[in-house]
Amino acid sequence: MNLNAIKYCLRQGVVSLFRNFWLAVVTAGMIAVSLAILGGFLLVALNVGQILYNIAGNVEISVFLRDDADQELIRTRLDGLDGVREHTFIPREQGLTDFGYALGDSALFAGLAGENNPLPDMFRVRVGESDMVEALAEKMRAFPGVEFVDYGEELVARLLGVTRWLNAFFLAISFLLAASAVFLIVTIIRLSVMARQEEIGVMKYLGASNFFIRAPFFLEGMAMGWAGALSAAVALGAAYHRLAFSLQREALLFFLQPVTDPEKLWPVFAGLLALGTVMGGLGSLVSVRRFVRA
Amino acid sequence: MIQAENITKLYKVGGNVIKVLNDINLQVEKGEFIALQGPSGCGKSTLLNILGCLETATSGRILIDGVDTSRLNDDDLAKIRQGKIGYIFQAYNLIPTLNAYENVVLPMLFAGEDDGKSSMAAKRTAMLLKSVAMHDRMTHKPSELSGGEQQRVAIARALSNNPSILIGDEPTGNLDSKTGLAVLDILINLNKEGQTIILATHDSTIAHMASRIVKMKDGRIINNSSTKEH
Ligand SMILES: Nc1ncnc2c1ncn2[C@@H]1O[C@H](COP(=O)(O)OP(=O)(O)OP(=O)(O)O)[C@@H](O)[C@H]1O
Ligand SMILES: [Mg+2]
Repeated sequence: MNLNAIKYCLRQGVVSLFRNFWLAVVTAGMIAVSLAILGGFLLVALNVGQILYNIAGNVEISVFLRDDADQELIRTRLDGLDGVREHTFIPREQGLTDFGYALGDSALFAGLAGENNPLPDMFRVRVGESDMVEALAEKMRAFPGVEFVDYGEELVARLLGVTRWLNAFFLAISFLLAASAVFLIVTIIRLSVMARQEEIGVMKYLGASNFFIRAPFFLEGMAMGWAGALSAAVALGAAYHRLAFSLQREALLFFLQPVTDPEKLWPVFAGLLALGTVMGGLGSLVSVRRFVRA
Repeated sequence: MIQAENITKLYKVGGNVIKVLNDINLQVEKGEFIALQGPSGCGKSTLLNILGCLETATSGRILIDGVDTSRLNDDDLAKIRQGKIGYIFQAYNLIPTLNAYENVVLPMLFAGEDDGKSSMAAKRTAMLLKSVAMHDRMTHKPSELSGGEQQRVAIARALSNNPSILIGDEPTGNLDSKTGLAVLDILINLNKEGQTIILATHDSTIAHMASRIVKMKDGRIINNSSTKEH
């Protein structure tokens, strides 16, 4: 029958939560909405990131060689560069054939074969991450025997610009949403404190320390944050699952495939839960520190 | 053992400053039963709250067992209230979500005396409830008890950490005279066993059962006399 500190604080927290049950539901709901929007943004960002990665992974650096270049030397130099995913040597003869195929009329180029071939030998290099393309191209330019290096400079620059802009946008929106949810919790806990003003007064007479008075409100706030985050995570997870599934079946372009790797997805959902709990705790801490003193 | 020295308390209301307590000096000795009397609004509750370390005086100081409380922080004041002060109220003020037993054990929990398993705390709680004849109502919630019964549980709660002084702010004010006398009887018996008590009361029959009557008016002590000399 005895009480202990944890049992007491938990029980008072639960009682307090149920005293304003509908208010608590509304608060948890609003936290859920803001976290679901935040989570939605994160998932979009994750997918945009993957799409950019796919596109960037297909940006090729063409390294054109001078006639006197040492092919083996350049091959080992390329192997030694961090960030190079793969490279293929394209002899000038094949370059010509490829070029012909690309234009759809290989016969036209027949006369350019052999001694008349105007194309140099080259390496086609694929790079792991889009923001490394520029630096790597610069290094390849300095290799001995390299005539010139070419890549989709503009495309890469534009993609990088878009990603940076998107990231900043997501960050700002997320911050605003999180801040308003915390503010909401501060207000709700304040109402809860006001509803229990008399009881808090009695507890002070009985010698309760700040800890005992504040802990139940702190737990109440965390519970609301956590409940909101859990509903957000469940709803978002279900919605994303359906969306990703139908996108996959549509067999869109390879680079538009949604992220389905659980390794990449679970941090988003775990993060939402942690964030909701932290926001609840933070909001009630602020409120309780301001409005409750032993 | 409780000493109030030159206690003055000001409240600011709107732009006005009102002097609720004006240079109060009071010494409470061990084993005394003091009745604090005076018209409504004269500052009885305010003085009791300051003696009980719940409010701070604007100037002056309170010494409890020789310790100057004016220099203590929130948590140290909470410790004084846990260990040295027992409080009973006109409106009983039991915690409505806790049953009688839990209400009495609560101050022990606050003082770290009850870790949830302590048989000492359990025994002491049962003993206290027995001393106010409430041991057969341990699992009752306050809403399931009469006013007199709630006040008896409240007395047991106030004694929970064996306080140096029991402070009562009109503890019989909400009770009919018969029930009020029963509660007063408990307090008188406690005093006979050595418990120091100070009560604010409007009721002069109650006041005359005390060992000393302190009369207040407009924030001052106007008469401070032992009932035997009366
Ligand atoms: N927090 C406060 N702010 C402003 N004024 C206050 C505050 N608390 C008490 N007062 C004023 O101090 C004066 C004394 O109040 P107090 O409660 O001590 O009187 P009392 O003697 O206990 O009266 P009663 O017999 O009616 O209980 C009153 O005029 C009251 O209005
Ligand atoms: Mg009063």
